[in-house]
Amino acid sequence: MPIKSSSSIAVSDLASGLAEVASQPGVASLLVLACDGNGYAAESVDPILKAQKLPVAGGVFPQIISGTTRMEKGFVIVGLSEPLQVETIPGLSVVEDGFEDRLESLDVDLSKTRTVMVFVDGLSTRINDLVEDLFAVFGLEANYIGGGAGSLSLEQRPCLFTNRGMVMDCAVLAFTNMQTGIGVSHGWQDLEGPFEVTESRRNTVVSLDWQPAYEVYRETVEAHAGNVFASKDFFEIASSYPFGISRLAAEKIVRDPVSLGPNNEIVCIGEVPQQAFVHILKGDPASLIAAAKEALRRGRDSFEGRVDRRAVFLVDCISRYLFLGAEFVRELEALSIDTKTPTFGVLSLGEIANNRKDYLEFYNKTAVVAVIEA
Amino acid sequence: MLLRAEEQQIYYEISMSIGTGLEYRKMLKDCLGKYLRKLNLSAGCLLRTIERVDGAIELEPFYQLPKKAAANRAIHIVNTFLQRSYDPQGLGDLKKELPFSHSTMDEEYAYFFSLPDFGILVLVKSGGPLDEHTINALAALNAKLANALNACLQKEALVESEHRLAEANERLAEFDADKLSFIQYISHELNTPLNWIGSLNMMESKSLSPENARYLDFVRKGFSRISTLAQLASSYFEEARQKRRGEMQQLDLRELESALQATLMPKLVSKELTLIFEGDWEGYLVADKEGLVFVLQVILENAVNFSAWEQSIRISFERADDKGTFSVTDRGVGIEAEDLRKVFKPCQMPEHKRSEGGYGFSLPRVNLICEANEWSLSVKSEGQGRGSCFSLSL
Repeated sequence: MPIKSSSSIAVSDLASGLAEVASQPGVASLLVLACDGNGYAAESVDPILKAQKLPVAGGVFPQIISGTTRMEKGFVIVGLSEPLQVETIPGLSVVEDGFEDRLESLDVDLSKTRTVMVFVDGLSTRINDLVEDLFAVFGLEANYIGGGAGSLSLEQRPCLFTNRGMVMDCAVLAFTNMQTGIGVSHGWQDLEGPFEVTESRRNTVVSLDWQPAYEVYRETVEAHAGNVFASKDFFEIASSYPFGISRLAAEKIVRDPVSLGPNNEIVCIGEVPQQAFVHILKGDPASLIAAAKEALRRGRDSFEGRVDRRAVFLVDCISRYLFLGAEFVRELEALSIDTKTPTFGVLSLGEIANNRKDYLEFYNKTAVVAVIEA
Repeated sequence: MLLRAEEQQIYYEISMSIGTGLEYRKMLKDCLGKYLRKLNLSAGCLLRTIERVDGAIELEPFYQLPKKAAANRAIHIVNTFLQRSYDPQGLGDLKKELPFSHSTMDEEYAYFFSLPDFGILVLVKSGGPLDEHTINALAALNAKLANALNACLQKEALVESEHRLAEANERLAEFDADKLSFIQYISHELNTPLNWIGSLNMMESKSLSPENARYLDFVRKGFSRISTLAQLASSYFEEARQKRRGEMQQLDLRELESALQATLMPKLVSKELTLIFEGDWEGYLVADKEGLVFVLQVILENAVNFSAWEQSIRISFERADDKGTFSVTDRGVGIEAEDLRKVFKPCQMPEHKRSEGGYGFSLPRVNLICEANEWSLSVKSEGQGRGSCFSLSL
């Protein structure tokens, strides 16, 4: 599997990297992962993408991974031996009809689709609707792997790569017959709850147990961590205390609180449905790193391809890095099979994954591993 | 491992997603999606029981998630384990077994649940079975789902009937318009032959023999009546088609009182009738002045025509803000109960009330004006010989 990794932010290096990987024998499509720190401008990158003959999918993420190295600048280009059927779904924040009709109109041969890579603009507001409609249309006959692209600055701009150029507020779906084994785990544990979400609007939690959500959240967190709200900003505190939504016999779905609204509503990455019961979760480095290891184990166990041709594609939440800090190196080590197995990935704004067993979900603060056949 | 309390919360969440709307596709997408998400299932489908004419009962796929059959394991399993149709006994036996499960390949479990009075729900879980407690707990949710679905279908049937009714009303309105056009056309077309017949008026009766002069007189009478009828019918049906509202003007009530008095005076005098004005006739009204005067004149003329000699007729006005109600009461021949609704319809005057000078278009025209102005016009009578009371609310 040809992989080109560079810490260069120069568009010319991206262009030469693409040309180099695309020219390798057996390469049928390209996965392009780049750092937000590169500051790519669409008008510079678009001509390169449009000139590329092989199918291209990928995006610009807060950070990327190459081997056990976390990169804040640069890119990784992966040459895949299976072709990708790349489809773009626009209007990921447009509050009108669902995506079902658009998805149903795609000419996809499910019998020749083992994996769907799903890259979304992580700052779009209707990612959950898209994920639900993906499940509603395509079900779980394929594995899913992907996540939210974009910038930690929360400024929305073109962040997804397609053969038509860089796009924003879209989803890029790449259907492929590539063998994959998917593992998902997060390691966050219950701190307090459950609280009923008595009012919410998509990803904004207004009240919990009929009280202002922020008051409930602050009281709960301060009971555990002391008077932190006086000295730290909300994002810094909330990265350690996400919400968890219960499911039967499965890990909770984590929702990452990222900011406060004008009336102190709690804004999350991902939808928190009204009438759901949530817990406030806590994490510690050991439990998170153990979960990363568990995700890798699950990915390896469910991989049915050739072991000698396997590689690891990681979609790990950027907020796990923000929480673990220096210990994130241990997470990357936990996510690595061995030094011989190529490993690459992204630190994302939300993760999308499924192993053909669980309901398809948009996750936050979660480690997703795809063991892929190169 | 979830605590029982957390399980209850999961069931509560599913429960709250059931019956959130009356559009069943959206409701099912939400609530079946919630079943699958909260119970971590991989597929689901609903089968509806449909009784066929031959008495067999069909299990019709009604809704499924995922929607593509090729991607829905529940559909595969249904096709393997269930027949497409059952006789009533066979379906009864199947229902007695519910809920039941089948495990298939790769730790995949299919669960078949009853949806009372609706059909069967099939849920598929991969990676491990549902526990018995959960299976039992779902019975109540499934019953709620079946009720909600039946409500949705009833609503859909109602909407469909309303739609059909609206279409029928539209067709009816078209027929009505056609009828009006036809009558108006005929009335108009009568004018030409009537004009030809009218040329008989050019004949000098003196030049005819007495017998022929008598015949000519009959023809003239006939011509006059048909001509008036054609004219009235033509203008009535034209007004009915147009439903035109008159110009809004300020109306001095005292002037109205005087005008009505003056118009009716000759007839009142000839029958020695008394017209009594009651209520508040001071001030002004803003209304379709021409229409209102016509309406009141016609109602009063009717009262005069159908009153016996020396009787009194009362007209009152009760003001309510800038509106008000006029009432005209007489002690005349009255109206039979079965004729009360007919008095405002054209060409429906009871035979015994017809007169040489009346054509039965006056009150219908009054009714048209009231409808155009959105005035409320009604009539009450205690029966023959007991008088009548017309009320007009502006």
